[in-house]
Amino acid sequence: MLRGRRAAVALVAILAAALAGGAFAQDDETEDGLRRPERLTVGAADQLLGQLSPDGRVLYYVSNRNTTTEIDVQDLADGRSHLLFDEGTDVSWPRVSPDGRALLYVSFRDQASGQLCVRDLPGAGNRRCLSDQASALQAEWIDAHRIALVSRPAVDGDLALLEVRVGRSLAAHPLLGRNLTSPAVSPDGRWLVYVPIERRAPRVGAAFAGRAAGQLEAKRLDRPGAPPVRLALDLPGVTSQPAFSPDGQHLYVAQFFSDSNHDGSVDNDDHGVLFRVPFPSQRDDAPAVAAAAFPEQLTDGGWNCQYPAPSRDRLIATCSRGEGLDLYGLPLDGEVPSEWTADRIAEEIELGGSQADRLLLYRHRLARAASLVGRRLNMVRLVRLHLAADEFTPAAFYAGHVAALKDPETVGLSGPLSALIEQRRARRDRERARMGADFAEEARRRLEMLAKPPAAATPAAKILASVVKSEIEDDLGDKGAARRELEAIVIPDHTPRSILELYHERADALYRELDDEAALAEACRRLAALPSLAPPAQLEYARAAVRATVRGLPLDEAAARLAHERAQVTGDSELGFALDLGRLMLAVRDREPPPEVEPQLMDLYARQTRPDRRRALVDEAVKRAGEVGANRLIERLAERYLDDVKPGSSERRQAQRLYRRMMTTRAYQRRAEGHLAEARADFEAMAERTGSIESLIGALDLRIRGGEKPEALIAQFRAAPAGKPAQAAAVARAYLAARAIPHLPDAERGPAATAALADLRANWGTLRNVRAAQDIFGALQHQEYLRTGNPALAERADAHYLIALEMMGGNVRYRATVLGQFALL
Amino acid sequence: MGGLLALLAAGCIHPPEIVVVDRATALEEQAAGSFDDLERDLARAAITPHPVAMTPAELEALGIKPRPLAEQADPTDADRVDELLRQHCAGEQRDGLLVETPDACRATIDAALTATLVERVNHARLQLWRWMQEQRPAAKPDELRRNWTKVHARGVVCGGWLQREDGTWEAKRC
Repeated sequence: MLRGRRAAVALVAILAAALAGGAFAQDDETEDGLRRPERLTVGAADQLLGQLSPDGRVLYYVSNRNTTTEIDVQDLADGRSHLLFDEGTDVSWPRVSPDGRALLYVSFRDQASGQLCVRDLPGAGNRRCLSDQASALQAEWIDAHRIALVSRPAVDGDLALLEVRVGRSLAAHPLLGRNLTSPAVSPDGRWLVYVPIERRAPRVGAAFAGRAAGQLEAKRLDRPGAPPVRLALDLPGVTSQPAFSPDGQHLYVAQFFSDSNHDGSVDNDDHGVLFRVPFPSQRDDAPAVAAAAFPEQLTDGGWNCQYPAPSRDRLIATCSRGEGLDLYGLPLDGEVPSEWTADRIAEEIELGGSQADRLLLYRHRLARAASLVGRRLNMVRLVRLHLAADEFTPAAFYAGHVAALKDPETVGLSGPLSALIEQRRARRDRERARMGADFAEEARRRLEMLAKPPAAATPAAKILASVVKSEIEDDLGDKGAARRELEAIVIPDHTPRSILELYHERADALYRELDDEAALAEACRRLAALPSLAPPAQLEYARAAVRATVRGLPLDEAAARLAHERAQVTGDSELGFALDLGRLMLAVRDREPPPEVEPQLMDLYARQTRPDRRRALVDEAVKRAGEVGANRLIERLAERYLDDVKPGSSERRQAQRLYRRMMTTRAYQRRAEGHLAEARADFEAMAERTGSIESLIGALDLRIRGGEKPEALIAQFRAAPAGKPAQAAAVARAYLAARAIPHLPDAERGPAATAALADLRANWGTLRNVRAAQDIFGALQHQEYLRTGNPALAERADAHYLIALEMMGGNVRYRATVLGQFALL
Repeated sequence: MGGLLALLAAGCIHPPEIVVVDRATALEEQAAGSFDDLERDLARAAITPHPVAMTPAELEALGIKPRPLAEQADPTDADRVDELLRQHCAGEQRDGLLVETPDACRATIDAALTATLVERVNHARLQLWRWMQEQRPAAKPDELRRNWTKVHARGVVCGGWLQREDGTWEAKRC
């Protein structure tokens, strides 16, 4: 009894801790197709500035786990790390030579302001340092025997770039007289790319009072007299931390979009996003190629990633997700696979995801957009998304690009777009109590500017000007003028979709503020009826019209209104479908809807041939049934939806997610009620139909609970079932071994754990990204630690638990498990 | 006493052999509350690498809200307000202002974003009331605001958190 109570108290504490870990809701397995950065280092300390050895097997990095900053080394195969050498003081900036035989670093042992030192690898012996009174700040290898060193000769002086020759000792001579930081040298030694620094004050050195330029410079190293070339990438914000790929064909950078820490400037202290551009270093015009390219976004804004270090087949970066710094690896082309087409990305966007994901995906879709219409639509959506995130610099950047499109339909669009961005920025500053120019005065100035559109302004530009004027009037408190401005807009057919979206956004904001849902519904109905609009877009506005019509009304009154409206609409229009759907939804009022509702809903579903309509039906039904707890209805719909969607499509993943969420809820409910056979059937169905490894584990747990022996079950998973991935069987075997080990005689535990770990390692290439596998790996090593008392095993278990915990995201059930394991460890 | 000393000197009586040990016996450890082997066995049994089997209701009781099955892409400020009202994380106060209601909140929310949103909405409402007053200068400000609040309550999303006249709160019924 006491044990039960203790366990319950512990569980509550663990769940509270799981909740405290972030603003999580209950979550299931991640379903998007993006390739998230994979964590390589673990621990409470910061791990940063990582670089792989040329063979890709060993990671060198800075760690502050022992208070001082040291250089650690980690074998990527087994994940174990250790101190590379003991300098007896702080060291930083480790860089492996191109041949992997030496490591340069900055030591603070003999010179408090930093000294360049080199040691041989792998043993880190043969320490030699540059005997120079100047301070060493940063360094990069030019080739296996030469180093480019950023040095500060005097506190109040300029910086200098030195070339250091590495032999038995180090010898330096000047390479470039330029205030610069973050030097990168192309592997062929032809190009030096860096961030120029401007001195802010004549009497204070550039290292202390310098301002990094927002753009890079490139200089030929093989032509000493050649002047530097400006290298401005086509990106908003500040570019920094350039790094060449080992093949010399790409330049990787960290980009800082906006003042994310609100300290008044955009710099390396802000949130970094990684990009790459082609940089064919063998060509004389490589900087021009890079500047003209469309930079490829590698990480999403949900991560703060900096110091890119590309290796032969993997990109290493220092990233943070709000807590400490750690090293992560990801494919060289980043989170979005290069082979994804525009259609594939569009499918992914429709699946939803975070705002940061959508920004990443829209940017990749923009890169693939071939038509002017497509480019404009994506740019305006990027403007809207950045505005929603209070990222005004990138919003202005894309607005500028809309203006640059040689598109007859967008002439005059940039003025209103810029005014909108300025207005939102001013409003945000006012909310943050940041007082600049007079808010009202500036807003009126924008209104005056908008009142004088350019002579060549297109109808689309005029509509947008009115939309922006309405927003400004609204901000100024003149609600009448805001309404008049909006209602004066006539939307002709063939108005660009991007403008329609901005118009709808304004109408939604103003009419809901004025509590005029009828006006909003009417505006949406007009949009839904535009003949040139694609049916899926018409449907979106039709659904918005229905939502506005019924919002807040008593259900009977709402049903009567929709019935009345349906009578006015003939044919199979989008509005007709949305009204039919809305009426059905109003019939779902509690956990047990009337018996006729389900067949009617299924019939409406069956009659739809377009996937967007079916998806809309499922969305609305799931939302409504979820609000009133009509779970059975959702379960049946989820099953039907999963049956219908094409395997391998993005929509299939959406259907699987819905199905799994519903069935997980039911399975745990049934389990708690003692209906173990039914719960097991639910888990098995999920595993079968969605490939969910967690469901497979849920089913196995119930089989063990039902009296089956883990040892006997392992035999059933000796081979993957036909057509199923081998990884599921491997995880199942490891899980069953982890369950069997506590009940084995002492002598058998070690061999069983060793065999299970070997089994996991054999499939680790694919399993390392499976969170359940990381947890089981940790659990097996944890068991071994309990058996042997060897602290190295505890360290490894800890590392796997930490990685598993991060991969759990918002899955509270699993987070609680891992936190419990931590507590035991 | 003198006799006893004499016996000792003669070697007839030996003092008992005292063995000092640096570790407690298993019995002593258990008596003192230390059960290493048992604790290890318990730890072994507790390392079960599968999710804690909690029902959604149990998680909700701990304040962990299930993730909505259908999520709206690109919600507007008004959509966010509706969601806060539905989750009882913000409420429509009887004086017409929106207010954060963290004690009743059934979801995990970003407090800073919520505070900014509530402030923005209230700023717009104060502007709106001023504008209405300009349109109808003869109307009493309190009456104007009361009437607006009544009209506004009709449009509040079903299930939204509303303050009654007596100061208590309820979810709007439709």
